Amino acid sequence: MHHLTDEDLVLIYYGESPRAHVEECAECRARFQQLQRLLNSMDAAPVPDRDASYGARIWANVRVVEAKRAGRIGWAWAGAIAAAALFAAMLQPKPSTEPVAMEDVRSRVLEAALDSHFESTRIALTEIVNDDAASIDTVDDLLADNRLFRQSAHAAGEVESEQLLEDLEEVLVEVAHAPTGSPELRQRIEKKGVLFALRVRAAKEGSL
Amino acid sequence: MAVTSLNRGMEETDLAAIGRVITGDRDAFALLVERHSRSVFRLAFRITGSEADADEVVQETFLRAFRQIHRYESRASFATWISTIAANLALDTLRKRKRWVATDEHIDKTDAAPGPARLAESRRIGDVIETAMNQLSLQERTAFALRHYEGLSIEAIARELGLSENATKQSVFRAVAKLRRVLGPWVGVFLLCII
Ligand SMILES: [Zn+2]
Repeated sequence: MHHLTDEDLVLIYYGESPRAHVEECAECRARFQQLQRLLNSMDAAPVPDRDASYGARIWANVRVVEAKRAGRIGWAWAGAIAAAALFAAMLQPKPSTEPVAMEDVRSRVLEAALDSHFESTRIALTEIVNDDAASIDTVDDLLADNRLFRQSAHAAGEVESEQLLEDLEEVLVEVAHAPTGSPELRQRIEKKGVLFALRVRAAKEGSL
Repeated sequence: MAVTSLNRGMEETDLAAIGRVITGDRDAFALLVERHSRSVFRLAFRITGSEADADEVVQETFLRAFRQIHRYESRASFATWISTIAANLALDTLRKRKRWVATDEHIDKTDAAPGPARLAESRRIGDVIETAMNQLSLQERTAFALRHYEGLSIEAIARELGLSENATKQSVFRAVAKLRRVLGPWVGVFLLCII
């Protein structure tokens, strides 16, 4: 009777070859069990993991790269989204020890990214109010990023920003679904007062 | 039974999401990233051995998958498809870095591998396994990771890496032989730790 080669045993281990001989032959069974121990031990290698928000960060980056490629958004805007993704990343607890000043860094990053987001939103909404319809893609991007920022602001306990982002989200949803240039839409944006709130905020930040 | 129906449910949802992306709802891709990015990261780490490289590979993998989503064919699950993109990118990363000393032409030079005495100093199982994995050539490492950790068949690995089935088989065999040489004395210790 032919015994199995090492190669045969590997194929059997991975289920790519029938194991009948291993069942019948004690000698080959012993060799197979040794291989099993070796290959099973490969599963003991610790592999670092990523947290639950990993996918969201990866997706945010993919969107930025794609949007830049499509020429829909400028670098500044892409930077703001990337900053938001970075901010979300920093919110996650890390297994390693964090630098003490991380809280400061976090709020600065969020601040800068938020300012940029509010400014882009203000420009887009102003265009719409002035009947200078912004593209639906821009609005979709703004809406998606607005959601990201709202979650970040909520997690960071930034109540004021969160409230403004909530209001903006309602308006952006309406804009995304309304026919462009509809007069009721303009009225609704104005009635919500979000543009006013954005201008006030920009003035406070000294950027207007 | 429960596992099978669960898997089927997952695949249907992946397919549905892919369908939505293809028909223009690009945000549906977020679901796929959410669902698969962490396992892609683990695979990329197993091949590159570096967290930073693995993160880069994950990013590039999903970017590529997003751009080429219309090329996805449901003959393989989305998980398999994305794994093979990641494995190829991880392989490219290593080639670019030229970090690997071992090559297919240097198979027999693994005698220079650290002996058990040296390995004993490192203590950690992870270090020992990593040392063993470092003895593999790029191709061996990738083929082994796809076969062992991702559960891909030799045939699927050959197709995805653009190798012949025989070359793929030989890569896996050589990988196992090298692992045996380095890890052989350690297997008993590992088992104590696993249990
Ligand atoms: Zn036998």
